[in-house]
Amino acid sequence: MDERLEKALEFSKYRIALFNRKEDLKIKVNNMLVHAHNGGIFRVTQELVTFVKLLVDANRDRAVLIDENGNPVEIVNLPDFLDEILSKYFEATNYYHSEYTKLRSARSVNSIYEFVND
Amino acid sequence: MTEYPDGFSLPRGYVIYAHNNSNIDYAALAICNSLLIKKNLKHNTIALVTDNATAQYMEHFYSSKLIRQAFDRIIMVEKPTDESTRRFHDTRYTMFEDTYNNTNRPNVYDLSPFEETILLDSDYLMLDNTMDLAWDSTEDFMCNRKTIDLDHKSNNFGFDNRFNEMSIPLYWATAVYFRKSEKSRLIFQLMNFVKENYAYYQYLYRFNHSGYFRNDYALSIAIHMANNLMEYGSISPLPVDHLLFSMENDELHRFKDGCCLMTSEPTQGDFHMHSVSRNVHIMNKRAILRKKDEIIAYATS
Repeated sequence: MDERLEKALEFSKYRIALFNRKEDLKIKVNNMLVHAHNGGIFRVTQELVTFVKLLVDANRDRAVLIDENGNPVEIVNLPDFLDEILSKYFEATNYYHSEYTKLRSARSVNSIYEFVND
Repeated sequence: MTEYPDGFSLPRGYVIYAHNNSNIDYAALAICNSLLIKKNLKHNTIALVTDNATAQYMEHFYSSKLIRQAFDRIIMVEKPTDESTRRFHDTRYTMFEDTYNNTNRPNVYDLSPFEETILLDSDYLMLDNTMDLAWDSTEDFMCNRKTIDLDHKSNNFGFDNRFNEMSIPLYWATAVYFRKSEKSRLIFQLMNFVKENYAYYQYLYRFNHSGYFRNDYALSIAIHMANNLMEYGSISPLPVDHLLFSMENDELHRFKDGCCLMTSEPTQGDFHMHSVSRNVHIMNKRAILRKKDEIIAYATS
C-alpha cells in the first residue's frame, strides 16, 4: 500500500478511536451527574446548583423541586442537598478533566486505550 | 402470589433468570453478573430464578461457596415448556440456532421475594454503581426506551425504537425496576396475557415475529395496554435513561479491572475499539462466557 495512504488510514483509525473515547467519556460523566434524593431523580446541572444556592441564600430550609421525571420532590434540608449535588458535580467534572487531559495527549490508538498496553 | 417462608423475603434486590440451552450457559452469565453487582453496587441482594437442570449443571461446574457468594436466594421453577428456536450470533462470523427458554419472565412479579425489584438480563453486566440510584423511587415501574450502541448510534433497531413506523414505543425488558403495587402487577399480568395470545398481538401491533417470544415486545404492549392504549406519560426511564448495547457482532477481547476491551464491527472488516466501564448489555453471550474466569476473578477480588 502507498505509504501516504497507509498513514492516512492509520490517522483515520486514530480519529475514530478518539471520537469514541470522547463520546464514552461524555456519557459516563453525564451518568455520574445523576443524583437520587427522596425518591426523585435529579440531573446535577449548573442551573440546579445555582437555583438551590439561591434558595439556601434566601434562608429557605425546604422546598419542592421538580425532578427529571416531572415529579414534585420535597427537599427537607436544602443546605445538605446543596452539599450533595456540589460534591457530585465536582466529582464528575474533576474526573472529566483528568480523563480529557489524558486523551488530549494521546497520539495513537494504543495510547487512547491505555488498557491495551499493560 | 408466591408465599415465601419467614425470612425469605427482603426489601429490595435484583432478580436474574437463567435457563440454559445446549450452547449458552445462562447460569454462568448470571454468576458473572451477580458477582459484579456484589462488587459494584451498595444494594446487592440477588435472587436467581432457574430450573433443576440448570441448577445441577451450575453446581457441577462451580463451588457451592461461589454460588452462595453470587446469589442470596435461588428460586426453582419448572423450565418453560413453550421454548422456541432462535438464531444467535457470535461475532459476524459464527451463527448458531438453539432453544430460547427465557420466556417465563412475566412471572417475576409473583416470584420476586423483594418489595422493590430490579429484573436484569443475565448479560446486562453491571460495571458501575448507577443502578443504586433506582431504589426508593417515587415511580412504581421504570424501564428504558432509549438505546445506544458502542458506536454511539441510537437507532439500532429502526423506527426510532418503535415496532414499526406507525406503531407503539418499544421498551426494553433488559432492566426493569418495579415495586410491588397495583400498577406493576397489572403490567406483568398483561405481559402474561400477551404471551398467551402472542400470535394475535403480533398481527394487531404488526411486529416482525422473530420466531420466538420476545419479552421486550410483550412488555411494550403491556405498557401500552396498561396506559389505556395511550402513548404519553406512561413509564419513566431508569435513572440512567438509556441502555448501552454491544451488538451480537461485537467481540469482548479482554476484561480487566472492571473494564471491557471490545471491538465493534459496524461493517465487515471495519473494526472499532472500545473500552467500556459502564453498564453494558453484551448481546454476544458467548463472548462473555469466553471471559467468565477473568470476570469472576475480578469480581471476587
